[in-house]
This record gives sequence, structure tokens and C-alpha cells, in this order.
Amino acid sequence: MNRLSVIGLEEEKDSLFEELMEFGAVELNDQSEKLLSKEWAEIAGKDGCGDRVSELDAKLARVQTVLEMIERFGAAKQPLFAVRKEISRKKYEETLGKQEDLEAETGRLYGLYEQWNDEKTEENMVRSLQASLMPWAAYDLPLELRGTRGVFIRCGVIPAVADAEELKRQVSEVSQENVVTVLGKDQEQQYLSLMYMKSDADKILDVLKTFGYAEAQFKDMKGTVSENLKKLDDRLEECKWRQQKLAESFRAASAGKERLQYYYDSIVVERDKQKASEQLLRTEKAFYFDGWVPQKCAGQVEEILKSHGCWYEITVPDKDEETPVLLENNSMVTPFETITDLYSLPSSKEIDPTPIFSFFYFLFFGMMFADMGYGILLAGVCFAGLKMFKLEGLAYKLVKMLAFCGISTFIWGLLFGSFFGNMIPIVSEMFFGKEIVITPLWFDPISDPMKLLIFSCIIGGIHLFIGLGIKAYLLIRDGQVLDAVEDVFVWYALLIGIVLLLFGGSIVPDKPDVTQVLTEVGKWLAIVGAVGIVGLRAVRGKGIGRAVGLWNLYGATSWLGDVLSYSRLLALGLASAVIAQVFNALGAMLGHGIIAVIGFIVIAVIGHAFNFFINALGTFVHASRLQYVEFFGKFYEGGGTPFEPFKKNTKYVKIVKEEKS
Amino acid sequence: MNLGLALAVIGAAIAALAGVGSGIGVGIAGEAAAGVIAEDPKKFGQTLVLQALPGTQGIYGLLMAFLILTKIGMLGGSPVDLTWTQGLYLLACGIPVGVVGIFSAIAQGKTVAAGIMLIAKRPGELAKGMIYGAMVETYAVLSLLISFLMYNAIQL
Repeated sequence: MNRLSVIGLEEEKDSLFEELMEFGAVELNDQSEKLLSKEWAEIAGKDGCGDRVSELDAKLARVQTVLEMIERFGAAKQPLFAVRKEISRKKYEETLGKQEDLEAETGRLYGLYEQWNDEKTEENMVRSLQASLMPWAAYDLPLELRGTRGVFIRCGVIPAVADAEELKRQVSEVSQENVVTVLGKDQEQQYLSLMYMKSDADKILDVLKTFGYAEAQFKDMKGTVSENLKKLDDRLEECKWRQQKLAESFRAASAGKERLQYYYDSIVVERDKQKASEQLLRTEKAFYFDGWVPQKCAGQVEEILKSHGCWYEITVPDKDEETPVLLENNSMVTPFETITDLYSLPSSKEIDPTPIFSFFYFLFFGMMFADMGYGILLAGVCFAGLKMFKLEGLAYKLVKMLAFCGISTFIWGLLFGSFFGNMIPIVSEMFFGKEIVITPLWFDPISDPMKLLIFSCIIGGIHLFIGLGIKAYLLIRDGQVLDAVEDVFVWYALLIGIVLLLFGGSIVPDKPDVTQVLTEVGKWLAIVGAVGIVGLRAVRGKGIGRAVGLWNLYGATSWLGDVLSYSRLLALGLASAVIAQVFNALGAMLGHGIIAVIGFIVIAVIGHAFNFFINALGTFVHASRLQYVEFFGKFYEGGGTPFEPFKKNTKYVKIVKEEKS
Repeated sequence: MNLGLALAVIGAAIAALAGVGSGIGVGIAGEAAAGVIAEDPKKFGQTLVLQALPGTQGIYGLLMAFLILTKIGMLGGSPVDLTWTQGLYLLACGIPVGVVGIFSAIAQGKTVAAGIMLIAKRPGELAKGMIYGAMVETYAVLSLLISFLMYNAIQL
């Protein structure tokens, strides 16, 4: 990553930025800090216009709303993957057409959207009115009738827990003529209608109060409840009808959807350009900016700058300087950058771990999934996906990585002799009455799990040692050789020593003299390592820190946990293989004959699909975990900021160079 | 049917009990996921991935139960004559995956529920949520391994 500083003439700015955006390999730095220093502030000011950006943002939001509405009501199905359409500039501009037309169309559709919103509000209001009137359905007097010359007619509610019979009795005690009816009851309230003499009103209200009575409000509603409900129904119907009309308008507009999507992208590009110019400093006639450019693109960027008559400087940043990070790998390794991306990019002082762990990821994924059938399925689906959809970015990397992992799964399936579990023997026996057994190229882990367990731990040990080795490399690169010895090499000695001491005998079991030599070497290596760990700290540390080496030595126990963690390679491999066998066995229980065959196929398809998804997910997670926790734990810090070049960040179209005709 | 066979079947039953934990775990995660989806339906895929994680313990349990039942001939074939010691041994095989499965799946359910909340706020951090879940899963995997090694060591 190189640092770039540029000064150019204001009149060249637009065309330069258009070209840089097209090229997309320059990241712009924020300049506001420079303006704090007096030297800069005196001659230059901030370029760009914040109002214009927010104006474009508002426009963008409107187009987006309109597009969402069209997608919601439109006839077209949503594609499975969002893919940018490739299109030539000429075609793009042709489709886009006149700016005013687009604005008018957006305005019209946005108006429809607002109407639709109003209709939704109306619908909600009507529905809540309906809900509030429903309990009164049994009340058949007009709502506006509040009484006659001598009588009050009222409606009201009391809590559901109140005793309505008691209320009736007490009301009758204080007045002679009254009618109290309970119209209905729900979980919260009881609904009452009351008629009483005006002369008794005060006494009755006193009684009602003790029951928590509250008068119902019907606002300005006229007519009976059922009339009102009918009216509301009509209103709702009309509202729905209008909504349908609006939905149809949006459906009709979906013909112009593509054009609006282009419009959306054109606004995004414009907005980003405006935003970028906020990163510039300018005087009356000139502008200045600085930023980052990847090493391999520097030459081309120079060409562009030269052609616009700019003054520029490209420098290599200092060793300690934080720069944005761009991972660059060959096409085999690039897909595995997914795993690095998902964790955290390496800081600019670290190395990119992807090329190193990608092989192990490939290996581990295959071991844990280990089935020829699943491997073919995974690789097939992923390669087909890559062929059919023009995926970009993370989605592309992920799918390609899974395709590679499918190959690994197939290879391990071949080694362990598994094809959809034990489908071949089962099917051949069931369908053709003759059992065909496929012999694994290596061995069957279900019958000899210990062998695979040991193999897993050895692979794990190698993985961990490589991680530790990278740490040594980084330390030595930065000139901290003693640290490298203390943190890495003495540990190598200790760990290799312990392994030889404990297992030296089983490497060549039939030669006792070799065993003795190995054990002896192991013993001394372990001693050298342990002494190194304790001793180096004692020499190099200060004060109480001298004793820390003893504590570090205790850290050897964590290696046991780390190595055993790789036993999941066996366990998950067993899980996917045995579950596959479970489904095969379930299907095979049906016996022989046509119906049994059909039943077997149904069970096998459903069962294997289930096993495939659950285990593919589990395998992905655990293969990642072994990198993140065990491998990265040995050396990796991460925390790099991704390189974010100034480019055309379009969502729907990808404008490609004019085709040569 | 003799005592040994009955004991072995109990072992299979204990192994399958891991499904209790998975049920609860997946349930906890599902509740959290539904809450997130209410705000942003586009996260359905991501939350589903996390919700599926505590489901594996139940599968490990099923696996072990199936293996035990196959070994004693309860699935297609004739039941083997087991001594009661052998039956007890097979019962013990079911315990690690069953018991560890129950508790680890519940704990994992809570962890991924928190992970689901994490992606509600920071959609880019799905991987980290998954790794936290995978940390819990380790112990279920180890218990499956032990159950399997125990199971594999006995020849009837």
C-alpha cells in the first residue's frame, strides 16, 4: 500500500475524478485534520458541498422507497442472489434517458406511495374503531340518544372483575325506576347500558363510582351500533379497494423498474462523487488530496494523474504507519479470504494468514464432512452457482471456497469409503439382491476411530506449530530475536521433547534401541525447553517478573487442550457418516419390493438433505473455529482497516467497457 | 428380553435425551430470532444459521442411540443375548452424550440468542456469533467422542 498526494487544477477535477472512480483503486483520506494547522488553513479550504450530498441522499431515499414498493407489488420474482447486471455505457445511458422524465416518474410513484401510506393509516383507524364498537353490538338504541325529558340513557364500562349483579342490586336500592343491562363482557371490561330517572342521577352515580364505572365515549357517532359497524365495513372495503388500485399502479410501473434501478445507481455515483470532493482541500484554482493506492495499481494511477496535468507524489509509508489493508492472493487462495474477512483483516504490520491456513481449512472441512456423495453435491451446487450467477465480492468468495471444500469432502469420502454413508451396499442389496461393498482407499474410521483420533491430533499439532512459527517469523522480522527464542523456539523444544518422551516408543515399536535414543533425545529436548522458558524470563525479566517463566511453563497444559480440540475432526466426521447410515438403515427397514424402493428413495432424499445441511453448517463453523481459536490464537491479532477505494458503488448495474464491434 | 438388553436400551434412551437440550436451546434461539426478524426480515437467513447450532446435540444423541440399538440388534435383526454387565456398559455409553448434550445445548441456545442480538445490531459479525456458539459446542463434540470410543471398545 503506497501513500499518494496530489495537487491539480480545479478545471481538471471533474474529469480526473470520473476516471479515478472508474479505475477504483484510490482511497481518499479525510483532510479536516490538516485544516486545524494554521499553515494549511491560511491557503486552503474544504471543498465539497454538504447540502448537495444530503439533497442527493434524500433523492436516493425516495427512489429506494419507490423501488421497494414496485418490488413488493410487482409481478417479477426476486432473484435468489442479487447480481449486478453488466451493461455497456451506451446502453446504460440510452435506457436512463432524460433526467427530467426520471424525476417526474419518481415523483409520481412517490406520490402514489404517500397515498398508499394514507390508505394504510385509514385502514388502521377504521379497524380500531371497529374493535372499539364491537362489544356494543347488542345495544340497539341510537348512540346520539342521551335521554328523554325525564330519563338519562347512558352507556359505560366497569372492570371485568366487578360484580354486575351486586351493582344492579345497589342501584335498585337508591332508585326505583331503572334499567341496567350487561351487554357483554371481555377479559378486561363489562359493557353496560343504563337508563335511570334524572332525579336519581346523583345517587346512582355515587353507587356506580364504587364499582369503577366509566362512561363510554362515542364521539359524534350517529345511529345504532350496527349501523355504524356497517358503515365502517363499507369504509374498510373502499379503503381496501383503493389500496388495490394503488398496488396495481405499482405493478404497472414494474415495466420501468430497470430504468429506475439505473436511476438509483446514477444517483449513488453522483452522491459518492460529491462525498469524495468533501475529502479535498481547495484554493481558488487548485485542489489537493491524499490517500492510498495499492502498489500494483500505482503505475496506472500515475498515468491517469499525468494525463490530467497533476502534480503527485507516491511514497512508501513508514514501517510503523497504519495503512488500509487489501488482501492479495492467487485464485486458489482468494476464496479462503472469506474466513479472514469474517474474523478481522490483518493489521498492516502483520502478514496475511490466508495462504497458510487455506490448505488446512480445505483439509479440515473435508475430514469433517468426508463423504463422496455430499462432496459431489456441494461442489456441484457451488460450481453451478458460480457459472449461473455473476457473483461478486464476499458471496463469490464464499461459494467458491465451498466448491473447493466440496472437492476436499469428496477426496476424504474416497479415503474413508463413504458415499451417502453406506448407500452403495444398502442399495445394491435392496434393489439387486447382491451386496456390493466399496473398500475405502485408506480405512474406515467407524471401525477404527482411534487411528483417526491420533491422526487428527497429529495434524492439529502441525497446524499449531505452524501458527507458532509465524509468530517467530514476525518477531524476527521486527528484530526481536530473543523474544522469538523465548516465545517460540524453547517451546518447540519442550513440546517436541515431551512428545518424543511419551510416544517415542510407538513410532518404531519393534526396535528398542531406536526407541531408547528417541526417548533420550526427547528427555533432553524437554529439559532444554523447560529451562529455556524459566531461565530466559529470569534473565530478561525485572523484579518479580523474573518468576513469570514458571507461570509460562504451566501454559504447557493449554497445549493439551489445543491439540485435543482437533479431535472434533474425528467426531464431526463420524457424526456426518453415522447419521447418513441411520437414514439409509431406516430406509432399508422397509424390506424389498417396489413400494419399499419408493419409500427408501423418499426417506433417503429427505434424510440426506437434512444431514447435508446440518453437517455442512457444522463443518463450516468448526473448520473456521479451528482457525480462529487454535491457529490465530498462536500469533494473529487482526484489526486492520479494509482498503475502501473511491469507486462506482452501484447496486444494480455494472457498466462495462464498450464492446468492440 | 433380559436385564442386559433392557439396560442397554435405557442407555440408548439416555443418549437420545440430548434432544431435550436441543429442543430448549433451539427454542431460546428462535425466540430471539423472531424478535430480530420483526425489525428486519432480511436477517432471516443469518438468524436461521445461528438458530440451527444448538440442534446438533440432539443429532449426536440420536446417533449414539442408534449405534447402541444397532449393536444390540434391536433394529432389524434379532436381539443379542447380553449379560447384565454388558448391558450396564452400554448404558454408560449413552450417559456422556445424553447428559452433556442436555446442558450444553441449553447453554449454547443462550449463547446463540445473544449472537442473534449481536447481528441485529452489527450485521457483519455473524461469524463471531457463530464462533461463540461453537465454543460451547466443543464439549458436546467431546462427549460424543467419548461415548463413541466407549461404545467402540466393546465387542459383543
